[in-house]
Amino acid sequence: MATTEPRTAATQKRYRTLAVVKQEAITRVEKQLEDSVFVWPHLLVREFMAALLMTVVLTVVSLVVDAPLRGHSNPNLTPNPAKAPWYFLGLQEQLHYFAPTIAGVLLPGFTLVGLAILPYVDRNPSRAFEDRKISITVFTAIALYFAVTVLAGSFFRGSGWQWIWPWQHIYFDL
Amino acid sequence: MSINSRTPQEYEVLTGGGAESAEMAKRGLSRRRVLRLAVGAGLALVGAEATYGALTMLYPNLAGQFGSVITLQDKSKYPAGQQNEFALGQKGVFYEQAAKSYIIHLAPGPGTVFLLSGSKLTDQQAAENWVKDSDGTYWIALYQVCVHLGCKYPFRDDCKSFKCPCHGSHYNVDGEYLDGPAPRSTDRFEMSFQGGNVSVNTGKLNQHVERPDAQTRILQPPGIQCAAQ
Amino acid sequence: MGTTNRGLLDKATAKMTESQAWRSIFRHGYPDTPLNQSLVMMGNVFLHLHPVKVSRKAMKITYTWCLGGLSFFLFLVLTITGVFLMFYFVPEQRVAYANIQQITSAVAFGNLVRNMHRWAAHLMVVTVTLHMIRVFYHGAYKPPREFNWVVGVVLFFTTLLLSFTGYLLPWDQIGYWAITVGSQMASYTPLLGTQAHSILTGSPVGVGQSTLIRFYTLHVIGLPLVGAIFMAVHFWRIRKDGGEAGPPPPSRRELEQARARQETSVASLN
Repeated sequence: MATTEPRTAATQKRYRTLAVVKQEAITRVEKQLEDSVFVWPHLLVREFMAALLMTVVLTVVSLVVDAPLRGHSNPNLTPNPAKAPWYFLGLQEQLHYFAPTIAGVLLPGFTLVGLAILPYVDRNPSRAFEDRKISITVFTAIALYFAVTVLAGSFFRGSGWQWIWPWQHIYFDL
Repeated sequence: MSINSRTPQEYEVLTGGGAESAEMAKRGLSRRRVLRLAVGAGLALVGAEATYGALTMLYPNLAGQFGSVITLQDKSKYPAGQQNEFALGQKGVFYEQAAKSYIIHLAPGPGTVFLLSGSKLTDQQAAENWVKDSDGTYWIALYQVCVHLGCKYPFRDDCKSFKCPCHGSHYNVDGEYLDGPAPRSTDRFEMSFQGGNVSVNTGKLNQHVERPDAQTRILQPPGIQCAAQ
Repeated sequence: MGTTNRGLLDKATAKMTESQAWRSIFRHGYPDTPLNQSLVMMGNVFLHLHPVKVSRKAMKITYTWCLGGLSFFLFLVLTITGVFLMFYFVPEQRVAYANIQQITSAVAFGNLVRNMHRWAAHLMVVTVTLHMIRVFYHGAYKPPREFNWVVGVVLFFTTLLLSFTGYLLPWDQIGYWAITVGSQMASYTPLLGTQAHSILTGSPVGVGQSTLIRFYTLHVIGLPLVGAIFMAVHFWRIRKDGGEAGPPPPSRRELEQARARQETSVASLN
């Protein structure tokens, strides 16, 4: 049939993208149905309870324990020992052993960069514990190293960064 | 399709819950409805508490600041003066920044001329927040802000009165209106004595002292023209 | 007795839920049917962060420990309590300390709000760290989720910086010297040490007013904005990368064994 209408924009067919269906999604028909549940109420109830519990714990702790506030800052009086926030005490502990450039900059820097590129370095596709012995060992060792240094810096260091046992005195502010 | 048009039990019936569920749905408040109500009420309660807490936290606490009771210096730091002896900071009239007030300490005598007497005088003095001390002198705490348009008026030693620099409102030493555009006499705070100290309640402002007439004017106007400055 | 009460309540609720105002807010009925349970997840801007359905295994509390969700919740708590503290805190070195004293003593609920802010901040560092460790051990950073892990590392660093910048604000001896020592570390950066330290503290001679205003600005707007943007990406990518990873699948050896078992059973049939 010959069309006499001019092909203006108004007569042309228009298309809207409603969805892009990936190849994988189509071939999934044969895939076994997952054992799934509705997010409302099953997941939301759990999230709600977790938030509620956290609120209660936080409120009770805040009612009972006061946040620390020492004296007004005095640039001419350094407290002994002067400690960083607890999560940096691992670095401060390492500053005791290594040069500042290494312990204070390169070590945390490389740790962060190493964490960021981890998925591109660890190319092992399996997620099972049994197949990931190397990566788990390395990660656990590094995590333990940081945990131990944080604990040591927090509870085992006193004035002059001398070793001190927690039952002697604890120099620790949150 | 509202919340209650279909109970969970009815839904169970629809999806094959059987006759038993249908029977349950007919009965009163179901367990789930009670739970839902309880959760809703609990959330409403928490929301109300949070709102109350938030508003309370934001409500100004003026303890020790302007807006609360402010205790000033010892009485002896404010020597009394007769009307014609007033001199700012020396006799009769004193400025207190913390209370944003002029403290007036007026002594009776030949230099202080009362136009009223008897109960008329005492009533009018009470209405204008005069406080009579045990030694017969009078105290007033005048708010420093001109009732005309909010300027701070100074005391003029040369003409023994307050004269606003903005539009020329003119008040007597006790804050009574003399002339100018002001709609009424100056505002004044409640004052009292805390032990030997002068105390001003800056939260209680008397804004209702009208322009005086022959029946209500307490003090004689000073009768001195204020020189242009 | 019960019936009249119920009748009244029912009528009132029905009147409310059938009103135009209610229907304009909630386009669907109460989510107790599969249709409404789907509509509520898709139609609500806050809930549509979640899919309509979720794998039962991935949802298990002993799998996720809700650590990511709790970190986000703590971020919200910190935002709200932080806004309230901002009403009373002035980042000026002569008054900052007095402001904190005022908050703890003269402001209604001020001490509670400050305590909550402080403890939630420490707790958030803990939950974020644990979340990261948990994700590592479950191998949930592996494809297709590798980029989301990188976003997570950025969020971890942002959390530490948020906590660190907040540490200085009370202007007491703890914060002042912690930041003095901490920022001094920046000066050991190879090549650009002095510059890094000056940019961080705003002063080449030590922690002072310029440091306070820098840390304050970073703490109340700069870093929260960065955090919020990366959080948005993080949550979005969870959905786009296929939802929660769920517990690790069987190992290669277990798969081998299963295949071997299948083969023997097939062979025995022949």
